[in-house]
Amino acid sequence: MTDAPGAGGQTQAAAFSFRLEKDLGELSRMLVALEEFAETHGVPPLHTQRITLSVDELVTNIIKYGARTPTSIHIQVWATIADDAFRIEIEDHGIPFDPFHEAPVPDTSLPLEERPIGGLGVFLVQSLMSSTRYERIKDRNRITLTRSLSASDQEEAQ
Amino acid sequence: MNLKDVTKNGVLVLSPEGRIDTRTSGEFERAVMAHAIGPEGATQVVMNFAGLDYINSTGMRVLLILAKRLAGVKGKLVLCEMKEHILEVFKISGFNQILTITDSEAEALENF
Repeated sequence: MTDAPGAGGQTQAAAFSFRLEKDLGELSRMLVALEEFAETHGVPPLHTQRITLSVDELVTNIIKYGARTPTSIHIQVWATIADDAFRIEIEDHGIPFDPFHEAPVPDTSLPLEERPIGGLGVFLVQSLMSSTRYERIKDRNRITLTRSLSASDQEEAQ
Repeated sequence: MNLKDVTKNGVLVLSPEGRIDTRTSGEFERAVMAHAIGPEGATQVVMNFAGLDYINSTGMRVLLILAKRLAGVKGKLVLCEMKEHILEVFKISGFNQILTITDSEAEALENF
């Protein structure tokens, strides 16, 4: 595995690291730990909820669809807080998939009868995060999310 | 995740508590459908989110299924008492355009 990203940056960064297998119980524990990490470092509650939901949606997709074999996939999540920004990196060695370009975009203006069931997860991530990026690095998928924590960004989503 | 239920003036009020995530949304779906769908099921439903701390897209999927089924039998689903971060996500998803969302349970019950 690579070193935690953000190491060696200009400012002292608070860091979080969690490795999980294909297991929704582990995902729940990781999200609780991530929430505690954010709270401990003074991240405002609304931002913490946006971050937790975004990581949940992406890791849920990797667990459900990303494994090459039914049994195993390893997922590594890192988070750092520095320069008034919360940065998350998610890596897995599953099937190559760019959620930000390959996932269908839902039409949120459709009436109830015509709204398809599902397909909202990635759209929520793109709405709640300040930036999203996907890279394929050797045999791994890497997703990088950033959430600006400056006060003026508190109400920007929607 | 816990689901409380009570009937007020013929309207079924369901109150999920805790977290609805990928692990618990199946349980949430079974519990909701057992109350609201079927030959003896309610058609007028209020969902009170006062005790709900977290919901992800797998939980929102259940609400969409429920709303569609209720609309199909001339019923209705009204949501109320959402926390700020949950309301934000429902607005982003456009759920506030297709479902009625009110601040209080009393206002929700006035919709029937």
